[in-house]
Amino acid sequence: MCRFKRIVFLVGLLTVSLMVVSGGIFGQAPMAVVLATAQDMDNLDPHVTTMNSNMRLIYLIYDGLCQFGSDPSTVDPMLATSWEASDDGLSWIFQLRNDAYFEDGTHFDSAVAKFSFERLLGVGGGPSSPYQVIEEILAPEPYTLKFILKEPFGPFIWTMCSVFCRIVPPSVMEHEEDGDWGQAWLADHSLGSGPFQLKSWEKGQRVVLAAKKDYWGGAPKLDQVIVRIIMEPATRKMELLAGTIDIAEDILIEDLDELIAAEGVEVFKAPSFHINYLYFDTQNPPFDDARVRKAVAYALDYDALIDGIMKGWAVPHEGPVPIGMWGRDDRLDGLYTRRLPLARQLLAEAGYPDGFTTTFTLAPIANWAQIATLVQSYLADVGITVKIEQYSWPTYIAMALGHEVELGIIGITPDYPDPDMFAWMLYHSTSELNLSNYQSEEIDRILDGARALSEQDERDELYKEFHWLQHELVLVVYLYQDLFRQPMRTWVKGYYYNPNMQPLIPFQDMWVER
Amino acid sequence: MIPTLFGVTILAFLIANLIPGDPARLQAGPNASREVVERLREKLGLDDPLLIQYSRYLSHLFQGDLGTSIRTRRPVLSDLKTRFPATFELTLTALLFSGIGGIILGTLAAVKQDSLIDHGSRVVALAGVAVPSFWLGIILQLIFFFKLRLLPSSGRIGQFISSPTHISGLYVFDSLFAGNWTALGSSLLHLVMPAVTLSLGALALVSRTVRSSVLDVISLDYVQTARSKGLRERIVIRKHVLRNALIPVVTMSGMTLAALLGGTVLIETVFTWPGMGLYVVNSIFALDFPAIMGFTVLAALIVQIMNLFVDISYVFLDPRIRYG
Repeated sequence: MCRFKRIVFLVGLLTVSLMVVSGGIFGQAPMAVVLATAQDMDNLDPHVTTMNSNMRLIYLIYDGLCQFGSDPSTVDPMLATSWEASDDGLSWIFQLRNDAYFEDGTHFDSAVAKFSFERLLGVGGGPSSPYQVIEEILAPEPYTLKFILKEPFGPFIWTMCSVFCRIVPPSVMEHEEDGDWGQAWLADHSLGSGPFQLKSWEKGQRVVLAAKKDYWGGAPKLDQVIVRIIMEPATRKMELLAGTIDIAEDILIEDLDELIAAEGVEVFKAPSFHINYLYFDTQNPPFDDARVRKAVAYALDYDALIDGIMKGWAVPHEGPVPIGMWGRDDRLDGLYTRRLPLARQLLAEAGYPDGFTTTFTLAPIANWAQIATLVQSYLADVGITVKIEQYSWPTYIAMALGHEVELGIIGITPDYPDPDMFAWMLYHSTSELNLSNYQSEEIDRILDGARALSEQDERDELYKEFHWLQHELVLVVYLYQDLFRQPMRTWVKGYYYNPNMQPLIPFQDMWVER
Repeated sequence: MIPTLFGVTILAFLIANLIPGDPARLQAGPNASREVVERLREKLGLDDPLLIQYSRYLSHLFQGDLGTSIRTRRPVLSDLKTRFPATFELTLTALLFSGIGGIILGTLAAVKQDSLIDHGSRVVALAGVAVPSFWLGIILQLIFFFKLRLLPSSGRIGQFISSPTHISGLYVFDSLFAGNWTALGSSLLHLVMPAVTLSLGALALVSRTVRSSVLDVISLDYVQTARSKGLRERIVIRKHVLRNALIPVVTMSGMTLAALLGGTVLIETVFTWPGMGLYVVNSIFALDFPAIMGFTVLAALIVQIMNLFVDISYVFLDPRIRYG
């Protein structure tokens, strides 16, 4: 026993010594904000990656021509001070600022901006998709940049705010290997003109960004931003409650009430632009009949789904454009509610008085499995038997894009905040994301027309017309629109939210008051 | 060894490629246009027939090139080199914990057969096999991080502490070598929970094997002779019993290492330990074929080398074994 006590004493002494020499178990805190996330970073090249975890850092390291501020309805200047579109919407001229510099001392001008857009298109990765409309990039003056478009593209100015087209200087080509535009090098280095630069990156563990005191927009108040990868949601919650991290992402909805009640923690809540919906195989029976799709829409209990699964962290919505964005007709909200007799009548009219059997396909994402179970029970009430099949995300997305799904679920956040992103991308017959695979010349005409206009009022009318059309055709069934939730310590100050830039966090304007 | 590795590459390549899914689409993002995805697929060589893709992979492999990760856009070898030390440090520590702990526990259980220690060791062994490691990891975090604030919850080093200067990539060794006591303390504290969680299953296996092996040996004539010479019991156990009883443990160590390597995939996720396990988990979600293949080939190679060492070590442990 005596020896056992000695061993316990020695282990205790060793632990205390280790904690003393290591400055506590976490070390001493500089003026920093620590964000914990489950999503690992893997590439910091703005022209390569479309992953949220990477974009969050790119947003702080690189500047764009324009940006989203705290007001979701406006486009704010950044490296461009002003811009103007021609009457036909085919050319856009941007006036640029003359006092911005990159990490390596490169001075920003129109030649640099021109190169950056050429690189974006040359690399040809996912981020280049919204910019395929660019025909030519010109730098007529040192601080004037001009885009010639292949066709008028209404959302063009909004796409300029995206992290996808942040400016990379030509000096990146000093690191080019085998014609890769410097991709291999830029994947884990930073070369931006933004308020932060990469200080260190321990892969799979943490990224440290250091503030640039000579940033043209003014030095950030924080010295550092630390992004820690913590895979387990339970651990992220524990760390936030313990105050060892400042902001936690991807907290389980079930845990939010506990965090709201905890001292020193707040959960920021606001409507997001993230929408969730069911889609159908509209090319084959039974979902090729609009009456069957409508019956599904009338069979679901939306409020119960939001209360039961989302615990109130969502709102019901109808139509392709989320609440809070122009281009939607609010009168449509709430028109689809659970009306079982009507649903049964529609099924009988469509030739399915006894219902039918279908397969609900999904991936193990968020609460999709719970939703599928609930949808299964709702549809059973009108005689539709639902078999649930779950696949891994890669398999599922391949099946969805290959139109191999009879009844499926998906959620979407916009790449750029314009109704075009939700309408054209999800319904146009040539769009890859038209998961319901509905082919309609009428829809294409409306969506192409709205895309070609530059006047918002005219576009608004067309999107509203489309809104009613989708309501009648029920090409998809909208379930709910998420409420954005950001748990953080109350000592974090200066945070603001803009649904256009979810999941980006404005660390450049934030500070800490412990 | 070479044919085994060759077989592993075929199996891994087939399995990775038979999973339905399109890495180009995953890389480009769900909102990317068809043209962009097609271009990316061509660039990644994914539109070639499987046989051509495999032979290209093999020819590169013989030149020490594991390909380029679709997800990170960096050479897989360099990604694995960055991640390997973390996994090695964790696995080695867990191997030590399970080896030393298992031998002590197994020997005590055998020497004091049917005593409280024996029953206790049985409970530990049962728990080690039955308790899911991810659950154990979270419970340990809850107790030692959240309640007691004794140990950090995850990662390899304190969030405000710089990593030690890279020499081997093993934080404990590097910080010790550089005399960086802050980093040493922090990295040792960070190592405790993941290593204990990872080692528990192996510890159970080792302790039960040692127990039965010691029980077999302890009643043999030469042990009785040693005792009758008047040797102290501790010496008899250490010099005469354990040396022979440990041969099965050494045999097992190759398999134990393989189990530990497999276990890192789960443990590294729970403790966000930035090793190869976490890397391969993220690669699987992105259908990053070259990264999945690279990990599989490297893991197979490590297990093969370990087995080779095990075979060689028999010569030193058992004088009757000689290789011609």
